[in-house]
Amino acid sequence: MTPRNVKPLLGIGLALVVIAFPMLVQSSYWLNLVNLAISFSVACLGLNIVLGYAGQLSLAQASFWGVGAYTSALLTVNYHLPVWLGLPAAFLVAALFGIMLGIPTLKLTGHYLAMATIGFGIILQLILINAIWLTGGSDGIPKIPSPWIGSLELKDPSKFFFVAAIMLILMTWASMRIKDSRVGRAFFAIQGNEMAAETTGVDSTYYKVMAFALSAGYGGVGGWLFAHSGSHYISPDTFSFDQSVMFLAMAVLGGNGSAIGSIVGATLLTLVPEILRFLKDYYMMVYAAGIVIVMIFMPGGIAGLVRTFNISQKLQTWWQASSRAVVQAAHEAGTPAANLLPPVAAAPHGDGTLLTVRGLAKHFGGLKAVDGVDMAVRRGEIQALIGPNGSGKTTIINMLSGLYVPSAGDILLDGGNITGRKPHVITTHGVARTFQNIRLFGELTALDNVMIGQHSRTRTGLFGSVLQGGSQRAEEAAMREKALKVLDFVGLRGQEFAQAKSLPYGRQRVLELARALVSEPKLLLLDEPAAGLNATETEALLDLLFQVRDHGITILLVEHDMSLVMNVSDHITVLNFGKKIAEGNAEAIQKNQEVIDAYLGTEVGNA
Amino acid sequence: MRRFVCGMLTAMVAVILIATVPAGAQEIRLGFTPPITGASAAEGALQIKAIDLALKQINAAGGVNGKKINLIKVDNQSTNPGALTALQKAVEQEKVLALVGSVKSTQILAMSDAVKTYGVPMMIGGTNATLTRQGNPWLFRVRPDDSIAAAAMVKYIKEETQFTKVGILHDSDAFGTGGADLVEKGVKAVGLTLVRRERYTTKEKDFTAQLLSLKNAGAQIMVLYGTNPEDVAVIQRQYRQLGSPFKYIGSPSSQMKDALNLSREAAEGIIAVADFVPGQSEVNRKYADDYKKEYNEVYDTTSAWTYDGLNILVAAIKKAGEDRAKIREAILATQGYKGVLGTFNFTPNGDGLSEVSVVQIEKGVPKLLKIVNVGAK
Amino acid sequence: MDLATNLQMVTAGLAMGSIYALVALGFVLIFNAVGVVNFAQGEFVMVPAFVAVWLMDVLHLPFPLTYLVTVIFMGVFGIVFQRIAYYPLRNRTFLPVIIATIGVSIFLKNGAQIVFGAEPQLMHRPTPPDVLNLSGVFVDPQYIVIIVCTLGLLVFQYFFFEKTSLGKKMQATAQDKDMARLLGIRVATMIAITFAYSSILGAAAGILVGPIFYVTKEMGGMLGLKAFCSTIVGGFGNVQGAVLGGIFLGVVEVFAAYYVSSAYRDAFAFIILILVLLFRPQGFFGEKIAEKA
Repeated sequence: MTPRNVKPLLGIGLALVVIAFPMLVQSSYWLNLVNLAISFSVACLGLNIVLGYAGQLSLAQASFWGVGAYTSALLTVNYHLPVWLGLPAAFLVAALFGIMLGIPTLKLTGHYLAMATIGFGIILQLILINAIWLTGGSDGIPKIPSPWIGSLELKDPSKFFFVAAIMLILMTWASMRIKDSRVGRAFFAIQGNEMAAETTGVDSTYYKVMAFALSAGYGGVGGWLFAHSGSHYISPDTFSFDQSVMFLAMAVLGGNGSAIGSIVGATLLTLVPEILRFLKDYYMMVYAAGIVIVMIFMPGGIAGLVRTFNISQKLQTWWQASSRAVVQAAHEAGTPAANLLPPVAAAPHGDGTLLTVRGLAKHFGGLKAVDGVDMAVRRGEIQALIGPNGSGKTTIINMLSGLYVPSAGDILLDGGNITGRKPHVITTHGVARTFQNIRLFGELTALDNVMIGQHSRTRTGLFGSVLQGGSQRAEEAAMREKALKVLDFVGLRGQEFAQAKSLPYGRQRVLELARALVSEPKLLLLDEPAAGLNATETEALLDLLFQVRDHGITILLVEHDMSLVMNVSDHITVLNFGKKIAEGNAEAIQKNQEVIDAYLGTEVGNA
Repeated sequence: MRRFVCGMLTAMVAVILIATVPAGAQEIRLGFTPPITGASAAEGALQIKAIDLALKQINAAGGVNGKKINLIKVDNQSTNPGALTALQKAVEQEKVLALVGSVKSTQILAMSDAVKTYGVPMMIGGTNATLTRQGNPWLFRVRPDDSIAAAAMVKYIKEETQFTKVGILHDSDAFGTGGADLVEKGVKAVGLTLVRRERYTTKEKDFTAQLLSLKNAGAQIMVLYGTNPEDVAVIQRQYRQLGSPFKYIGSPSSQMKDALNLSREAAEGIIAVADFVPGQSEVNRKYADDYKKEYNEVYDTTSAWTYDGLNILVAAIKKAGEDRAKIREAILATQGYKGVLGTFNFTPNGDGLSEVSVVQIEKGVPKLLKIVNVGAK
Repeated sequence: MDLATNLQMVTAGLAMGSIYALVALGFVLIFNAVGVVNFAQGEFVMVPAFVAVWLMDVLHLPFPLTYLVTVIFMGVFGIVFQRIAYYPLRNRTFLPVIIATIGVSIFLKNGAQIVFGAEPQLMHRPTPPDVLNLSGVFVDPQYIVIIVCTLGLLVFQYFFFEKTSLGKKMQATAQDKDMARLLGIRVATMIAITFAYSSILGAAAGILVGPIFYVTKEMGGMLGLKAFCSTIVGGFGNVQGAVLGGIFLGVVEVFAAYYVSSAYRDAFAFIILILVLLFRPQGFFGEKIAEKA
């Protein structure tokens, strides 16, 4: 069997299960619990997007769940809108709240973000309680209507189950599609390494807000399912911090980043208390101890456990058989780097200068890390930036790639001013970089890393990712093909599906180079590309750099390995204490007395 | 996709396997849905003590027509969804004939729809006045509702004191807000002045701002509509520490055992309404003795409703047999029943009590000042 | 508004603020040592309060002995806690640790209910229950004890970390574990001691606030969150900042509840928190930290 002919069978099987389920269960107690579990599951799917995909901890999911429930309940009870209209409204209003939480907390990570989301949840609950004119206050909203189809009221749990099941399938499907798309990869890039994501062309601000909005929207849909089923009654006490913690526990138990895991986690934590009622007072203790135990012994949650037993690995291998076929085809086509890199645009200025830096400075408090540097990088050349430790080399690279905003000075690329632009914008303008201490997306495959590298050159948005129309599929295929070629080009053939962090150090370096190359840069910034490489690897790197240059890509590299620098550079700029002290070709620099003094004075052994 | 289906299947199969049904024998199965875990577990523990006493006495006296009562307690987890599943579990899985429900009005609202659909009689302790007026014929209240307590407080201020300037402090939860609304309406209706209304969030620890605000607004007497005994105890202490700047009349929580245990001498002289006063009737004194014998402690007044609730329910079953509709009629026909909380005369709405007591705390014990009957509404 | 009212509110604010500060100190210690926020810090206050009540009511121990036993108990408790919720997770990201501490927090709350019962408890107070009337401003003597103790602990902490060898070792561990290891400091022991000390600070808070808050399983929840707010407002990882942040929040809360809205009282701390995070994420006293590329 191949994945292709199994798909419709799975679909039919799923439909049969859904249809048969209420007949098999027949108890409205259990059906109601299942409906509740589905409502929780949808909220957890949302939490999984913001936490599992984008890596941002949110402890406010119950609030979004509540916003969805209240939106739809108020619209249907007070304004008598049809329940079905409440659904998009719940999604949109909750997503709006997600954006409201996302924007102010963008700069925050880790504990700060966790705290800010808790604060948001508490404030929102206080509003639900106290804004009586709007929400009915603590009394809540009773008698929330059920959805209707024609003249059929879907009130009975066995009927509402179909609504819930269909919503769950749709939302799961969408969330899985997002995961395997350009948008999903951007999320994972942010989780993997936000700084690298930015310099790879991912607008981390935009995608973080999107993740919050999506997560909140899912919460809203979950809330809609909650409000219009079960007790048909909502009140503020339900949408508490404790509930948010519960959602977190569900998502984490299921397995961070796995949509199915979230559903399993939510289902278990909804149903298990019912089964464990005999524990009475001890139940909450068992539940809490369970959270701690899962954290310690099952870091990947249930999904992780499944993975350890290789069940899903085997499934995945089988599933990826088709992808591997594509890889094979690409290799056999045997196009090395011929049409890989874009032709270099004709120079708009006659002088052949690609990058001009004027009076560039960066001050940290009283420390002048870079102090008024002028330099120019000629098109099609390899230029090196050298200097003793602390001379400001990396600081310049950071300013050129947008990680630091210069204190003074201008950076002109192809005549256009890119000073102080955000990293992802600069990437779009044609500057790519690697890092001194490698910043790959370690959990992702080599192939995914390189596909993320094309982010700035591709367009598929959120809706495209979910719907996957013809043009999106074509773009995805093209991205994949190009990624494979570039991997081949840097010599990573056969390691496309290896997890980036599992690669040997030298391979990681070239993978980072591949990720940068694939963004079609005019200018490639390399921060100590040879650091940690052995002689053979350095040799190969040298070769690679020449090949890259021959494709018309200009290179600016910071490097300590002087033999590499002298061999590869067309032009060298020397810095000391944040100032330029010399420039010229290798020969001239080697003879320059000031350069010799600078190196002798500080680090004899290193040079 | 395949993983997805596997996940769904596993979950669903699990549900089906678990859904087995126990069967009943020569017993009458009744349900009770107290909070055993969660935020209200403290109240739940006391409710269970009270209802277990009733159960023991009923079964010791031979049960109903030779059948023992089996009371199944299902935890409502102190949450609304928990209350609903507890109800559904009691009715569907445990096959109970009727229930004693919850004391929390929001939980009762969450259960209300299902109670109506099942057509199962449920005795409730929730005091939100609207509960029995929403067209659900299956709810029977065995405590005086908030409108009675609020009306009694206003009546007391108007008739027994010279104060004209009233301030209100209340919990912003459903109970406190609902009660405060009724007091506000009542105060205005009898021509008193409401000088200020302040609220607080459950479990707050410092009430200086609210108390000072009432003081500076010129309140002569404060009506406190609080829910949690700990909160009320903190208020009582801080009220005392600010030099008792005005008189204090509180909702029933102000004279609850838990509150008085904590605030001790700070509660001396405080006036409060109570569902009833210990020792006000013979039934009541007997309950106090029995409770003392059983648990070796003084009973808690706010959970005694479960005792009356189960007794009234069982008395109705005795008369009507094991038929829910007939039980309903029998409960509504209950008139002049002498319970711990007072004399029950059920209205067609399902309200059992229409009188409350006004008490004053003396040496840590609520002492009856006056029984106020507000009459059927 | 009249002076007496404002002074009265300042007093209440200072008292509440000192309590936040006391709990915040415990947060900062652990954060500095291992870079982890302990979401069970509020329960580090609740547990010793219950223990103290039990010692007093059941074993009838006198005040000094009760306090001593409670402090020792919490020292051990802190070590056990870090063995469970921190040590196994020390090489992972902050996320599992946060979730584990949340788990422990729920566990402790419900455990306390089973061990000590669900009813709120009264803790006897060493200070007289009568308030002091300072020309129209009423002050609970317990508040004065709290403020004095908080300041005392702050001074003690300063001397401990700056002047004693153990304190210096702990600080070295907090700043650079690898370097500390090279210097022959037993890092794991230092971290265990840090947790024990943080937990003892919780014991101090529990003993001090027990008599005025009453002792319930929920007493630590909001207290912990507000204390955490204090640490961020004051400047994360900064001891003086945490204390001043706590006092600032305590005072602002009372005034905002009086002049703005008592219903939204709990919201103010978080609104300030979000504003601070937005406009001065390093807090009032913290230093700006930039990630190095």
